[in-house]
Amino acid sequence: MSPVMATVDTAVDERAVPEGLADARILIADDDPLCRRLVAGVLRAQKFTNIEFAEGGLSAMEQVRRFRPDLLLLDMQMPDMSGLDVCRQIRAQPDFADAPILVQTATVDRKKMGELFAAGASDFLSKPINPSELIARVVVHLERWNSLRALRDYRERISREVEAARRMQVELLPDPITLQWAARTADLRIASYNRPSSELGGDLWGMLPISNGAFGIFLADFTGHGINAALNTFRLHALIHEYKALHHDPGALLSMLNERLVRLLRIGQFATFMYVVVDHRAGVLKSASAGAPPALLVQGMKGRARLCDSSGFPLGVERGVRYRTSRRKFPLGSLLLLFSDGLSEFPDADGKRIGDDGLLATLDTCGPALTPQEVIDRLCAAAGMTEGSPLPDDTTIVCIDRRAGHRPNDGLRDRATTQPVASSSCGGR
Amino acid sequence: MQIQIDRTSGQIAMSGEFTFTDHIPFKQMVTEIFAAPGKAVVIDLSRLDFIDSAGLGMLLLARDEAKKTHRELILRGPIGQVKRMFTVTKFNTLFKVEE
Repeated sequence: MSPVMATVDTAVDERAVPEGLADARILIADDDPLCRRLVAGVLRAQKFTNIEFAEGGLSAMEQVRRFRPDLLLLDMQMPDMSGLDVCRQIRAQPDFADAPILVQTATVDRKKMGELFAAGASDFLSKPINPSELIARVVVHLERWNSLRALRDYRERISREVEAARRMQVELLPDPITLQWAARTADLRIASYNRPSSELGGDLWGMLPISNGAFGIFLADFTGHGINAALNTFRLHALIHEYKALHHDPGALLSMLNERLVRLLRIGQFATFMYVVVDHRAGVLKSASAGAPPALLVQGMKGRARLCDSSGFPLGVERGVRYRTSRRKFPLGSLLLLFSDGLSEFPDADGKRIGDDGLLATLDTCGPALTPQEVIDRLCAAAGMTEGSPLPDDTTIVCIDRRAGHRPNDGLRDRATTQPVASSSCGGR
Repeated sequence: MQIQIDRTSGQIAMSGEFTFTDHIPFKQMVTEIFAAPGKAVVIDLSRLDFIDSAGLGMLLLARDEAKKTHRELILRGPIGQVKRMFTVTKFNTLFKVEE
């Protein structure tokens, strides 16, 4: 009696094959027609319907390409090509790198078994075939393969959607042409740095053109990061543009945004917010802050860097808050730097944070020969941030530069650098 | 961040850094402490070195929980960066903060 037939009477596991597996594509590769029939019979008895055959190694390779099986039952000894070679060649195809391959073998030699797994077999079935074992292993491997694929599909879909959202979020940032236009009109230079800690961030900054060359710059930082915070930046962006009439009046704009956000945000969520109107004709800054980190300001050619008080309730915490507008001089030769706490609170290699005072000290070493982009680069370096270093928090920096004596031909540098850093430098003169 | 809870006195002592990653243990702690009977809840911050905006947000959640359960919430002894954050965000006026 052939060893194959010896198994026919063995009791079959009565557990039903889980739903959704019955139409799985199963390829049986065996040179022995009796074996093929037997294995197919066991599978069909368990309602597997989608079964195809290969009579040898070469035809197995061809069937894998054509039939794209979800599971391959592979005989070890076939005349034209060894099962090991079939395994290796299938594994070399990216689509089948993880697909289940069950090898049928009569061997119990441990070394040979090792070779079998090294060649890429997922599991083995010992000959003679035991129907219960066959079904149990087929089911386990199909389920594993299905969940792996489902997870992979899910991950791919989510990452495509997150990528689309990330692109949309980058589009919320000021476009280089508008920025360049504003900088030229106001005869100053603007540079920026924006990098989220994951694909999506809770930081947002923007430029709001007002009139006579004046413009507003805002910088917002929502609690947390990731999708939740990112969605809030879209809300805020829409709200800010809804209140165009308040763009010239920082205190009024913040008070209004706060009223709206208090009603929209869940408890525990808020945004710190800084808004500065730059009026180069009058040589003044008008600003209001909702608990943002202090702005760094150098007033005039001989001025030293100092911190501007930025205390105030964050937006979205308390109803009825009236935010106050502060005025400061901003004559030729001045420089204003806004940043989110991702910069000041970035832990360097030793876990130290540069803090507001450290940034202030670094800014004092930045002479007027540095472009605003170089000022930003130097502050990042001083904080211990390198281009590739992962950020624990979303980080935004905006530098507005009215210092005299900058290089006359250093007009515009395109928004450049690699994603996900959005960095730009625009200037006039 | 480390949290030490004294349920009988309603005292919580926090130390280390209070950031985004502490979300779950802090929320659990808040639920637990306000579920227990008592009057005021005191969070001792004198050994807390650092708080970020997510940490501040969680304090707002605790404040909301206190309001809902008609309990008093007291933040005690913020120092250094935590104290500065309280000043910048005016949290020292939102909460009862004891030096």
